[in-house]
Order: sequence, then structure tokens, then C-alpha cells
Amino acid sequence: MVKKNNSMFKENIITNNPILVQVLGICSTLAVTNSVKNTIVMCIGLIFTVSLSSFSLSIIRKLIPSKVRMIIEVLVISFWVIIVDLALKAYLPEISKQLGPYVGLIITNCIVMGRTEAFGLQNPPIPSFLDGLTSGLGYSIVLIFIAIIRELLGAGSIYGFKLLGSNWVSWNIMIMAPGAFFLLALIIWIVKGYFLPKIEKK
Amino acid sequence: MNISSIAILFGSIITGNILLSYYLGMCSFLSISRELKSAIGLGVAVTFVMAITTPLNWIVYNIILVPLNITYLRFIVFIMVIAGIVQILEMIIERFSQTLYYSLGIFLPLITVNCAILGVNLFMIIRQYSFINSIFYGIGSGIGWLLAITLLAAIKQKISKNILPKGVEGAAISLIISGIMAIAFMGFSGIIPIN
Amino acid sequence: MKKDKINDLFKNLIVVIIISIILISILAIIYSFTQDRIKENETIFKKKAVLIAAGFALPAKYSQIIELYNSSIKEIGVQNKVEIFSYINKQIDQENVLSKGYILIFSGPGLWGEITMALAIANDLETIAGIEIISQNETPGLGGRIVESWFKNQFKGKNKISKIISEKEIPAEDEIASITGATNTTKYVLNLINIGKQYIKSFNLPKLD
Repeated sequence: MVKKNNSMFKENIITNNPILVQVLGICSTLAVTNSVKNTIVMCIGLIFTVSLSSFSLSIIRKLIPSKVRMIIEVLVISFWVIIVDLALKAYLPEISKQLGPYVGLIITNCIVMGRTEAFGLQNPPIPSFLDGLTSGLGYSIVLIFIAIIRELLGAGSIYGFKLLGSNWVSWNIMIMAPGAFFLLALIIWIVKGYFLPKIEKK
Repeated sequence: MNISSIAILFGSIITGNILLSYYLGMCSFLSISRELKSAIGLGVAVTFVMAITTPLNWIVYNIILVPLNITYLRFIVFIMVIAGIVQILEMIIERFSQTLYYSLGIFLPLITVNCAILGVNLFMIIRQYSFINSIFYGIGSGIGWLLAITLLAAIKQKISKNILPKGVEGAAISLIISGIMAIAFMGFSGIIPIN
Repeated sequence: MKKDKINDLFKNLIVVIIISIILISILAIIYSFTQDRIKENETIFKKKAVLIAAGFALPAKYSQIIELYNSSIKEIGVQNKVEIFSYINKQIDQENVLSKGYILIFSGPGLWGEITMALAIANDLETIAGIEIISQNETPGLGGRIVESWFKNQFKGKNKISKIISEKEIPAEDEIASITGATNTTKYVLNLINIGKQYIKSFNLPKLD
């Protein structure tokens, strides 16, 4: 059991990273990463959603007729996302306003659909929960990394704390869409081109 | 609302392109084959779904959810409406064009979870568009997405003969192309005048 | 065969409906627990916006904010979809023209939708005491930056604004600095302030003593 978990951990976070390798969940990766604070909240929301969706769908997986499988998945995922949305509105209203519609878009985040479909519907609840958790972690690590770069270069701060002095000329392009595209492309390139082949050689 | 519907139409295609400015709809965008025909086919299907679901969900939201005070359920309700429309579209395409049905294959049911469609529906609510404007916004966003995905497929087709450095092929090059397109589209932002 | 198909369709529909009902019921229960808190957040958000626009320094606790609001702000009414308040700010010197005045909450066009603003005008009915952005849908990271303190604060005490300069420079009495890359949104905000000033004139509000 420990061996299985270990390799799942490694796979979902490194060798089969949802964003860098499977290329899922890109929409939110680009949208929220111009602020570290928003990114962290988004990541927590996503980990919560994907692990609990996988878990709950796995429990009822034997009861779902295959034709309506996708609709049920979407229903359950929407359920958890609404809970996240209500929790944010109630306890973190300012962040809820800043994340705006992107919280609702966790529903269509391909990672959530992808993991519940690929793993949750075929495996027992606890492993499904862990699979969701580790995938979410893989997603979060990449997101926070990108957010740190974007916020630092684009606004001179991390999590709102100004780190670079007022003489720093911010790279506004990092806050805008193109900067996000280029940065993510660069990271995927480096990881796929250099790091992954090295790991595979081991 | 002082913002004219035409401004919304053009805005959603060019200056506020749902994909290049708001990052929605990237997943199928990145994994689409280099074939121009399937890209256009997918884009047209998405445009249809957006154009129909946006005003439909406007009605559902304003006439059912708001009076009953259950707007917090909008995520579930919207996605169910989208799923229903996609199902109907699937049946229509299967009936009228077998070739299109087969070439779109798995992508058709996946339109349901295309973040762009749910995103457009949610943005429409947040920006409090009127019914007429929601129609223009839905159509415009669809056309904008279609435009972006067609351009990407065309460019990818052109460079498919080139040799790319290791690691760049696939997602990375698509993102770089998208980034350059995003910059290009930002050049249009001066078009929309202030009232 | 056809009977099987209809049977299947029926079964599928029943499963979807049952699961939907269960999920929606759970959500309704959760909503009933959180809705009070959510409504409270909305109310205090608006009250905070009104206080901030008028230049008050906000206390830390929720109850203190409500107390400050109740003792300093008077809700006058709504006209033409504009909410009107008057304020008396005892935190600053009463000789200062910004110490009393009116606050309007109203909406107007922005680049991507409406911008809702709380505009505080001093007792001379000309000088801006401050602004606070209540809601906006501008481009995140660009126009969305109109909520940043430096941007809002630069309107304090200004009367007539005739020029928009770049973000890097320090604006004079009749200038404001725009957000780099978001000149359009900045213009919309200025436009909105002018709309607010016109409302003040058209409502014929009396000077406060």
C-alpha cells in the first residue's frame, strides 16, 4: 500500500503533472496567477474540489449508468464547487470578489473532470481521494511557482508584500495575458525538454 | 446600460477575446489537432452552443433563479442547461451530417465542460448584461473563440514541417503562438470609444 | 428493442433526478446556514465603502465599524437609482471643508460593464473628498487596478481635473495619474466622477451646517 502511494505521489506531482505533462487546467493557471494570494486560495479550492469529487463519485460509482456518467460527474463537481463558493463568500468575501467567476470555473477545470473520470470512477474511495489530493498538489506547486514569478516581476511584490523597491520598473506584460502564456510555455519547455528526460533516464 | 450591443459584439471578438484575454477554453484549444477543418468544425459548434445557452441561461437566471432567491445554485443549473443543449446539438449533427459527427468524435460531449462556455455564461451574469446584450455577447464570444482556434490551427499547420527544439512541441509552442496572438489582439484595444 | 431503449432512458433520467435532488437539498441546507453571514458581508462591504470614500479611518472590529457608520452617516434616500448619504467626519478638523459632505453610490459605464462607485463630495459641493470602487469588471491586472489605494487616494481634495498623466509621474492639483496600460478604464472612472458631480448639482442638496 505504501509503495502504491509513493509512486502515485511521484507520478501526479512530477512525471505526470497535470499542468506540465497532461496539459490540463490551463485556463485557471493563466487567469489567477497574477497574484500569489488569489492563487493560493484557488489552489485550496481546487484541491478540495478534486479530492472530494473523486471521493464521492468513487463511492457511488457502481450505481451510475454509463450513459449519464458525464452528467453525474458534472453534477457532483458543481456541488462541491458551490460549497467552495459559499464558503468564500461567507468567510473570505474580498478574495471571493477578486476571484470572481474563476471559482465557478473550477467545475470546468479539466483536471477535476480528468481525474474523476480516469481514476475516481474505477477505483475505491480512499485511493481516489489521494489521487485527487496529489493531482491537486501537482497543480498547486506549478501555479504558486508561476504566481510568484508573475507577481514579483509584474508588481514587485509577493502576497502583497512589496519586495522590490519603488525604483523597480514593473514588467507589466507579466500581469497581462501574453506574459502568462509565454511564462507557462517556457516552464513546460524546460520541464519537458530537460528535466523529464533526465528523470526518465534514471 | 450605455454600452451599445455592437461594442459588445466587437469587444468580445477582438479586444476582449474570450480565449486570448480571458484564457477560457484553453484545454481543447491546445489539444486540437493541426487539422484546420476539425478546428473550424469545433469552433462553429462552440459558437452555436454559446449563442444559444447565453440568452437561455439569462432567462433561467433572471426569471427563475432570482425570484426564487436560489442564485447560489446557478453553477449546477447553468451546466445542466449547457449539457442539455450540447446533447441536442449532438443528436442534430448525428442526424444531418455523419462525417462531421465522426470527425468531431469525442470533442462533442467535451464541449459541455469547455470552460469558455460556462465562463461566458458566468461573465454575462456578473456584467449584468441585458437580454439583447447577452445574445450579442454569446455570439461574439463564440466567433472570437472560433477565430482564435482557427488561427492557431492554421499556424500550427504551417510550422508542422519545421524542426522544433526538444520539449517545445505540443503545448509549449501552442502557448507561445497564443501569447503572440494575444499581444497582436491587444493592439485593437483602442477601437472601442468612450461614450 | 425499442422498449429496452425507453426503459434505459427512463432509468438514466431517474438516477440523474434523484442525485440532483439529494445534492440540491444538501446545498439548500448549507446555504441556510451561511446566508446570514453572506448578507452581513454584503452590508458591511457597502458601509465600509461609504466610510472609506468619505475619508474615515476604519476601526478594526466589525461592531466598531457599524458604530462609526451609525454615528457619522445619514442615509438620505434614493433618487434616479442613486443612493444618497451625508457624512460628518469628526476624525478630522471641523474647519476643513472635507469634514462634512455627501456621498453618492451610483453606477456608470466602464470598459467591460458597469463600474459602481461611492463618491464623496465635500461641503462646498465641488471638492472630491474621496472615492471607493464598489464593483467593477475591468481587465484583471490592468483596469482592475482602479481598486488600488494609490489610485483612489489621488482624487482626495481635488476639484477640477483636466489632465491625465502617466503612472510614473506625480500629478499636480488638476491632474491624475492613470494606470499604465489602462488609460481607457481611467477615463471611465473620471467620466463616472463627472456624472456623480452632475447628480449632486441636479439633486439640489443643501450645504450642511
